[in-house]
Amino acid sequence: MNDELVLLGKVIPEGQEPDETAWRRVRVELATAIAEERNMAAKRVEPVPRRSRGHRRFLVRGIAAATTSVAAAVLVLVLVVAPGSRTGNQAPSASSRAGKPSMTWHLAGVLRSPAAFHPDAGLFEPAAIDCPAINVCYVFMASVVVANRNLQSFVYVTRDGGRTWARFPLPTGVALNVGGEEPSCPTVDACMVEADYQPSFGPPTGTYLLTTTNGGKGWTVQPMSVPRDSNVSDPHCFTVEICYALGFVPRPKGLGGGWETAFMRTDDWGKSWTVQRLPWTGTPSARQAATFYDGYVTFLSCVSESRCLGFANGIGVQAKTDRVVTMEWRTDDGGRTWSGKWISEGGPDNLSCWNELDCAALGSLRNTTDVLTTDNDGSSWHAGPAPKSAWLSSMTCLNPGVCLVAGAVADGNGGRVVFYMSTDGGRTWSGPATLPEGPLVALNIDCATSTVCYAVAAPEAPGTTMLYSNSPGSS
Amino acid sequence: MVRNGISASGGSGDTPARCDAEEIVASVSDPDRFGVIAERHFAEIYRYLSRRIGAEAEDLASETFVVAFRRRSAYDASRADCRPWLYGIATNLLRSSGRSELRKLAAYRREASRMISTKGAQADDAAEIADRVDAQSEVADVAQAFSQLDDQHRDALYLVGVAGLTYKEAAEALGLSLGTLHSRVARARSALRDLLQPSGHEETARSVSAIRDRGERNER
Repeated sequence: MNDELVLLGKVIPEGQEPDETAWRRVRVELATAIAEERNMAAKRVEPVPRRSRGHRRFLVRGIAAATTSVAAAVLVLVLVVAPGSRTGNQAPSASSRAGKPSMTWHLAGVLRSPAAFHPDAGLFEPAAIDCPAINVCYVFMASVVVANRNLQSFVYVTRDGGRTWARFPLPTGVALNVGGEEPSCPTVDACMVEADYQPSFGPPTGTYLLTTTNGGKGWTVQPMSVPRDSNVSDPHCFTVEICYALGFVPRPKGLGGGWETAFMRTDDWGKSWTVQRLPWTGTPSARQAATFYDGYVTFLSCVSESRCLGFANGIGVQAKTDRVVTMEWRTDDGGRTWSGKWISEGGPDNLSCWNELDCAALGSLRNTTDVLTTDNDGSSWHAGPAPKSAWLSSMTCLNPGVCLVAGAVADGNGGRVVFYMSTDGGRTWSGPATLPEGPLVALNIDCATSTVCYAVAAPEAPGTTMLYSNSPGSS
Repeated sequence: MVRNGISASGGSGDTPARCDAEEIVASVSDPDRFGVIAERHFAEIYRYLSRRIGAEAEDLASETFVVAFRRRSAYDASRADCRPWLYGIATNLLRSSGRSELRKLAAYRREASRMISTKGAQADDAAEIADRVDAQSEVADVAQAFSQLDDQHRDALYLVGVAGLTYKEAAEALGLSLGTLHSRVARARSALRDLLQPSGHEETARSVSAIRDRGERNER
């Protein structure tokens, strides 16, 4: 063969011309995108359905702690799972779809519960929240010791944006860990949360899943069928069947012990799980593997059931400095196979993708705090300035590129929560915004849509948990 | 300008090299103007995707323009012709969508194999049989070899060898330096040659032999 390119051009037949349907579709979808951009959602043309599900992302390890220099108190901020859009839920109202997200937060409701203080840890425990629809939120309270030294937790459910709440007990013995579990509610009636289960007060007996499919009224406790001694992070569910989780599993004998990251998937709502190990020996080259210590995948963002992007941060033990080095891992087949790519010296704290091309990560690159963005599906990353704050926690982004960053500033009274917002995928930022009351010792956020987010927070005095919203419609 | 049967200019009569960037920049303040970009290039992107994944092209072709619209404010206005940008988005969407072009390549291969036996059986002249079998067998072999390349190399070769982009345009589309693109195409071509040489001739020879045998039996 003289010229492979010429031959290739002959081999692959000419492409088909788009028919009327294809032309109509691109025009409608473009018109819809234009209308959305102009805040004309109420009048917009309905798009041709493209996917059965919205884009999803989740943050596996979204917890961090900061010590304020003034109060030396630990301020725990958790930014929770924030799907870009959800299915099986009530449709967003026209007003909520329109416009940019508000930077004004208001008190949407108050929960009174004895569960804001964990007796063992001595820390105020954040409540966990997941909002599967604009007015529907589940708030999981931390466990408290009740009669007979048993643990008891409650879940509160609102279906009117926080004005009224129903309280349901979780099975006795369920322990929601310090740091907060991250529930995942794929529909308004179905939730899954991973927890320890201690039928009688004592050491945990393993990893369990709590699931409900009737709006929290009843819960099923089932052991999570993962390798013994595994440490599983919070599952995230796309549907009432398909869920993912990251975890650590013991490294096989002969490999020096230690742990490996594993990607776990269920297709039957948690009854059975497949475990795909992500060995750190999968680094792109032997040289990189030799310098990559404990390169666990700890941040994962999935925009579909098949495609996920993850970050693994490790320490370059053979480097002159103990710089954090990062690998990008990806799967395009639902976690069955993974490929790794060295991306930088850095240490992104989290990762959030809101469509197939665009992702952002908040983290440190070259010893500065940056926002890393990609608009080409992770092929290359651009480091831009992060919003300024004393300390930045986590970031979540939703379609069409609305990102929310939570942070904290010391105010001489235990710290104060601040928010920054970006509407261009993390390139520019507005803020800070604060919650109307403070100081708050725990915060947990979830966004039902790109314009409707909720935050649960507790003041220092235990017994009260407050729900805040940036949606003008909920009060 | 026509490349591989694809008109590089749209129906507006403008030269994209001069006006794409202007339309995209103008569409930042006047979003409707982005429609011109879709009218101008949708057919080309659709053809490109339909070559790679067949009937599923509709999904990705329309999504390509929605993604492009949402990212237009980041468009590099110094790049007058936006086709590389659109090809890049389409290629990335193809990769991230999980849709496999391997099925399409397998279909090309099957079709070529079918034509070998059909045309071979219908032909009377042994030389004609051999020519046709050679040609169709080569198609099957190339499709087979092409499907064995990895995604990165296949993308590079596709854009240059099939879509007809220049090396510079393909490099822009894939977000690569020109040198990297050159290297990728060279490696892909080399791999194609390697993949074709040992098996291709043998398969062609086997096919020719088999059909000639059939022809001789028919003559008897």
